[in-house]
Amino acid sequence: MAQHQSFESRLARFRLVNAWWIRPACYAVSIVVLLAVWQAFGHSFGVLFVPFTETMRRLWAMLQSGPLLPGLLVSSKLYFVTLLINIVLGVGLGLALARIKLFAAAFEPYIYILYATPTISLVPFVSVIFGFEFGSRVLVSVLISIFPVLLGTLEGARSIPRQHLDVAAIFGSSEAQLWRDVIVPYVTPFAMSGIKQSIALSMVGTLVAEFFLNPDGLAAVLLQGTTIVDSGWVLAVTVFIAAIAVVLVGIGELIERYLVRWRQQAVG
Amino acid sequence: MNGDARLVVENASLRYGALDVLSALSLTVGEREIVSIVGPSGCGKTTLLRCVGGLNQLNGGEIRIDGQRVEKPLPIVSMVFQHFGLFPWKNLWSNIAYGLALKHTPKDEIERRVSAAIELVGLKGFEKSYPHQLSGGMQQRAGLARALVMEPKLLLMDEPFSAIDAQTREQLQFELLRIWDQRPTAMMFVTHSIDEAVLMGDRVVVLAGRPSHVRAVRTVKLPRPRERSVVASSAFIELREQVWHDLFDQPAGNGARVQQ
Repeated sequence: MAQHQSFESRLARFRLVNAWWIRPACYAVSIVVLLAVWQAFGHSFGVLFVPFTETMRRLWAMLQSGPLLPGLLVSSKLYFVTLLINIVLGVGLGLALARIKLFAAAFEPYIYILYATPTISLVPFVSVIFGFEFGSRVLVSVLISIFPVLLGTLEGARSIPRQHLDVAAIFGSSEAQLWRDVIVPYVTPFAMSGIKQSIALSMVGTLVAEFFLNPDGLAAVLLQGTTIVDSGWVLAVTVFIAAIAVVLVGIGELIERYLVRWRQQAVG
Repeated sequence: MNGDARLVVENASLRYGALDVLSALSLTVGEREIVSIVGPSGCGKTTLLRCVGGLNQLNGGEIRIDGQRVEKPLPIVSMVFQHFGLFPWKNLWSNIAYGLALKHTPKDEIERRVSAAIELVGLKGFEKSYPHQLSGGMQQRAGLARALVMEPKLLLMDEPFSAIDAQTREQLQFELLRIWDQRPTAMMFVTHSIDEAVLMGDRVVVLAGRPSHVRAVRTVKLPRPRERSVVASSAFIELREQVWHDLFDQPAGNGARVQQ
């Protein structure tokens, strides 16, 4: 009987954890707590860290008139070019490294060297060789944010179970059919989880590139507030960037969920 | 043996580095014959099956199917895998249609043949399900349908029921027998279960030794179609004992260890 009861209580907990409202509710509570802490901290700290309400007021004002939206426009271009290159080049290189052994032998060490190098330290060289223009920014931004896509794809393409390849061989798959039916669908979840990370990291890459190569876009707006120690300004811009990042990652998550809908957990 | 040999394995030998896996191994499978292969784990029975399927290569000897030398997978051969080998990103229908789609079969023909195969293995109504939504038994039914839909001349079974729970396994064994009775074809059935080997096979080939060779071939004279009652028959039990001794009795002079 004791076992029966514990099963009942486990079932009740299972139902609670899986109720549709529980996740949004937890999310809402965590945000309210965060904002309350911020508000209290801001009140005791004063001008060096303005409260949440003050930040929102400043944000609203900056959206009405100010450099925020023009800055966003400039940064978006760099951001989306970066993301596109990350996806195309990251997935392409990842697949090539996994499937072409000699290619991997020749190039793989460089990838880890670049991955381990703080990209900031390369900025002076980039600026000397390529200048301060858009191309240089793209290069820096991509170097910061491509690796999750590249390494995720590589790991996926290297871990294709032999059984899948056996099945393809037994049923007479051509190389092109193998890519279409096995390699691409198998690697997609790995690549997608890298792309999702890269969606956020590309934002970092964009801002860092703009920061260090002749400030422009949102980074320039941020810098403007930092130099005059206007914490309201800086926090407003930060919240703005964070909100955009959350929305973009959310979109990435939806796309991922659609692409790997076959991987959803079994019920019961 | 019923009919001419569909599969001929002649003097097969296989090495992995310094390890001899198979040596001078010969066997045949007739056109409408089920040959069970049993042997201790690691004896290379699955490896032999993979060679017949064209997935592995022999170091010596020859494998011929309908007179055709096997160097790569042949279209007249199909295989059922131990761990089902369904693609998790394809639904059941697409998994079963996979082989036909690869061969650019006309759409209406795929439709017709896949429906028939799904009906045959009792999976009607689950066409849109993904593998993770199905039990192991149902997944292997799909694996079976995927192989049968190709109408192969030789069906290779790689311990197909070993990853399935005991009750479902028994159910599937008799269903496979029923399906085979409807459309008898050459079948090579690798298993580690002596009971299963005797139940399924027209002959049981016992592999043993290092490197593996054919230690014994037992002809199974049980009537077909095989019903559940055969497992209780004295002929079945006697044969099972014989195979057991073939497997586990050490040949005399080789550290002879006689088991009851």
